[in-house]
Amino acid sequence: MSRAFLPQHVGRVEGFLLRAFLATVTLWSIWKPSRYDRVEDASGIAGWGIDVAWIGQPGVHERVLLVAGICAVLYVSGLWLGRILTLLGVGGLAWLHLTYWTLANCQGNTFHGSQMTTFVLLLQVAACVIDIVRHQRRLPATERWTHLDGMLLYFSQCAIAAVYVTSALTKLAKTNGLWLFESHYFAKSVQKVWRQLYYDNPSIGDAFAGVSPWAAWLAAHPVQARILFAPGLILELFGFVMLWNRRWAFWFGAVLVMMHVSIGFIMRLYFPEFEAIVTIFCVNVPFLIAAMLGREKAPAPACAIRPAD
Amino acid sequence: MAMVAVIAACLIGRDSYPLNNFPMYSDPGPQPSQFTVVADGADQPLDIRAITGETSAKVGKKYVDARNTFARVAGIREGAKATPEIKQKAWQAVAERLERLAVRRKKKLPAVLRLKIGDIYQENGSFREVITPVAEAHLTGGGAKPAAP
Repeated sequence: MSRAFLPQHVGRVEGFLLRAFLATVTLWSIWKPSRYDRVEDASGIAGWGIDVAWIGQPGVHERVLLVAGICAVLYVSGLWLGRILTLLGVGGLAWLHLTYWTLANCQGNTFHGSQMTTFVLLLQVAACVIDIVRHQRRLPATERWTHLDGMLLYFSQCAIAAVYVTSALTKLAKTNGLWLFESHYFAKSVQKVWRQLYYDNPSIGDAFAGVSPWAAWLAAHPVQARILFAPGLILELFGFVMLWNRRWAFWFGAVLVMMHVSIGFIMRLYFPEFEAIVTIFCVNVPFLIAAMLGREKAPAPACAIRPAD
Repeated sequence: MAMVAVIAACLIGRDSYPLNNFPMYSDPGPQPSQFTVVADGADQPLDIRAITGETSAKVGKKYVDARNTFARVAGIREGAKATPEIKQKAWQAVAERLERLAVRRKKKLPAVLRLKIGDIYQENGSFREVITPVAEAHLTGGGAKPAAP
């Protein structure tokens, strides 16, 4: 096992599956045509004057999917065809994902379900650029700047960890560190979501009328509520531990996915992209598949695993 | 290093896609939690998601964003202290956006669209809800362009 908090060796099968799965999640994320065709309240790159409304215009979506499909093929085949094609592929996917979701977030409300995918794509672009620059300068591979697919995996895990740690820091900052002690008030947030679901479509929302059974139980049992929510905050705050090695990434990833599934069960708030990305890069299903196929090779010294272009 | 850079950017950038400080449910506290009700002129709650594609929660966020923007333009720093006229103007702008979204989905909103905000209080192990009318918008149909703040 390689040293802690450093990129891991990624074999060909694992590398192929990591790329294929990320490309699939990205396509899935932008599969439906955007509901929006104009910027109402500029956010992100739209605030810098970059046009994002084009992606929501009638007739554009089919072409966007075609380009995204080509980028996905370039990205995956870049494993064999070289780092430049990898950069072109992941760069195109990052640009389309960023544009699509920036437009969705320019409507006066923030949607929190897709940032993780954008971060993973952007940090993979950064990893490619670093790898290309190092390659051009003929710098030798090191444990930190190892082969491209090891860096793609590590940078993706950095993006995921950053999302959770940021969320935990915001919770602590907003409550002066008292989030855990006040977490029993989470019951009314559960009830709020219940109400929101009812008022989304009241004519068919009878299932969400009245009081949520979970909210009622949490409100009546404040101590148990705190015990229930405490692990979530601790898990987020120490999310960076997933960078330690594959084993920690697996366990953190598995528990984070369970946390999202529990939130979905209790609050009906779903984060399918988060779950997919964590399953791919932390639980690392590609590695597990490669290991089952017997194609996971033992880690080689960093200087020996730099593939030729 | 990459992780620290993203965290720093998120905390500084706050809400500039994809940067975000992920504030969902970050402040539980005793203050009421709010939900949004969109009703027609007869006070009948509408299936706003089926008509516009937007959830009631998103409608609420859009309204708060518009109200804060209009309030800032009027020199009021705290959006919650906006005057009834500002709230009315903000809701009219949001309602017109919703109308455009409905038109894109080949659906129709009623001519009168009312906004109500519900407050949920958690007290002594149970909940108390108070729903307050906030503003009323009048739509002309066809998805007119909203007035700029």
